[in-house]
Amino acid sequence: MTASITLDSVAIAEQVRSGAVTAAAVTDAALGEIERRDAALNCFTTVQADAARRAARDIDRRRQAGEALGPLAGVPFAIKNLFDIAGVTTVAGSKIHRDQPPALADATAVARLKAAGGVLIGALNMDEYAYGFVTENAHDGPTHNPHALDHVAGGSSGGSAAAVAGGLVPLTLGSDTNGSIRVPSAFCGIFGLKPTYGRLGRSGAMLFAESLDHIGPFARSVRDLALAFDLLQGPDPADPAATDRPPEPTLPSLGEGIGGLRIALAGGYFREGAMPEVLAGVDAVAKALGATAMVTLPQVLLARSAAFIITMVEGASLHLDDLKTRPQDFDPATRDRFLAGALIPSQLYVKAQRFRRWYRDQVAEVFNMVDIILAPCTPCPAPRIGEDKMVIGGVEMLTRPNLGIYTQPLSFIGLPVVAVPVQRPGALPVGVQVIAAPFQEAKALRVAAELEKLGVCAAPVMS
Amino acid sequence: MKPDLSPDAVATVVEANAAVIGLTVPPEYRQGVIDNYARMLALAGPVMAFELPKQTEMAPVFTP
Repeated sequence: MTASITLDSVAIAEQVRSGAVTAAAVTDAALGEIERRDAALNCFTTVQADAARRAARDIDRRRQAGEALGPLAGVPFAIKNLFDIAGVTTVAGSKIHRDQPPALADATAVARLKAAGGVLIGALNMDEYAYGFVTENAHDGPTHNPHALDHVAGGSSGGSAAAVAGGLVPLTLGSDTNGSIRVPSAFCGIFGLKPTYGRLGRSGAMLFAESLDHIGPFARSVRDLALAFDLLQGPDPADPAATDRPPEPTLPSLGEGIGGLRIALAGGYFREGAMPEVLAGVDAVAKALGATAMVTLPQVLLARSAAFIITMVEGASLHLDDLKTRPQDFDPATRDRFLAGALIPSQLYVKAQRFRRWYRDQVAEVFNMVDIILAPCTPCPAPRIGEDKMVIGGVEMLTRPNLGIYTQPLSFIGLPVVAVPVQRPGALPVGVQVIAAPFQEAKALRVAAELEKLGVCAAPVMS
Repeated sequence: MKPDLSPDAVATVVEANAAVIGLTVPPEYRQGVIDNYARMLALAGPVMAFELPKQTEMAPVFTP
């Protein structure tokens, strides 16, 4: 059997475990696709071909020795370049961090995927320090959308999304502070999971805004998302935000359907300011699920604004020394925002955090009435690379700050969200957020699996 | 707070606050910083004006 890199992770691992293909052949297939296509897509900033081939050969050797292989046996995966890889300098999309020594160990998340048999292929492009929604990185160049190369892949985990959509690897990791998993998932037409805040340990991942940062997987199938999420769960003592709840596997319940789940659309704010094709995507998903009820979250605009302020303050705090000594080395797309963030009075930050507490309690009330809320991922499909302004509903607005208007108010209070893709033949895909109450990832994944089963959502390789 | 500071007032705040923390904003970035600060202030105004119960505290995650 010929190794295919266009299968999902579960299928590839099954083939490797059964001996139908070797991990070495699968790894070579991934490296071949990267060689063939990544000059155009610009997903990868680091490719570890030799280390990947060694890891793959080791898996094949273990199989021949009769050892049990993990659920990701021989599956090529890649990571946003803010995750530590032992022996590699973690740059987080920056020029500044290229001066840093190599990481001493793999990030917790990377180590867990490797321990399950995953073969790390390399690191992926992103907005500098995760501050952006477009992955037009001044140092590494823009990542191109596999659906249309002159359009952005989204950000900040743009390389992670485009690598999956383009079929270079079936599984990647990214991070999401205000939408950086969900926005690129939507633009690239794939599945992405932003879990509950604190659910997945972040140690070894360079933070951006610590009280808002999450990590999570990208994939072309819902079962891959669930599998990766399950493997990534577990204690992470080095991350003060990491939950001490026991892992709650989602894969076993993935096929249970949506029976018993109360599903509603997000109204008000989430129906305003979006292009018609985006709302049509949400409505198509709602119709397939039989969801007609609409719920309104309170003060969503303030939630978005408060997230904006917290992000600016925490992000600037993290980089203050470099802002003082070498501002010229920042990406122009992030520099002025970081500098401005360093100057925000403490009262604004504290009020934003206090508001967060209030808003969390209000939204919890809504989740007493429903289990799942549906909302757009973005106000528009992927803009063109370099497009500074867009027009929605006759109103001209800046593109970059507005791509996260629907994602920010949800990550603000750490809600788990699965971004599901709605393909539009001949046009760019749109994404829908399947939102659940805190720590209810399993419900959101069940809904995503149902949508995939119904054929409403799919993530084909764009080659 | 006053959310509708004049552009000159925003520039003054930016310069004063930068001085407080020992940050020099190079002249070539000054306008971009002021623009971003003004954008932030426009969003912050309604947040600051929103009345919260006095007992609503931040929700820190740090546990010693």
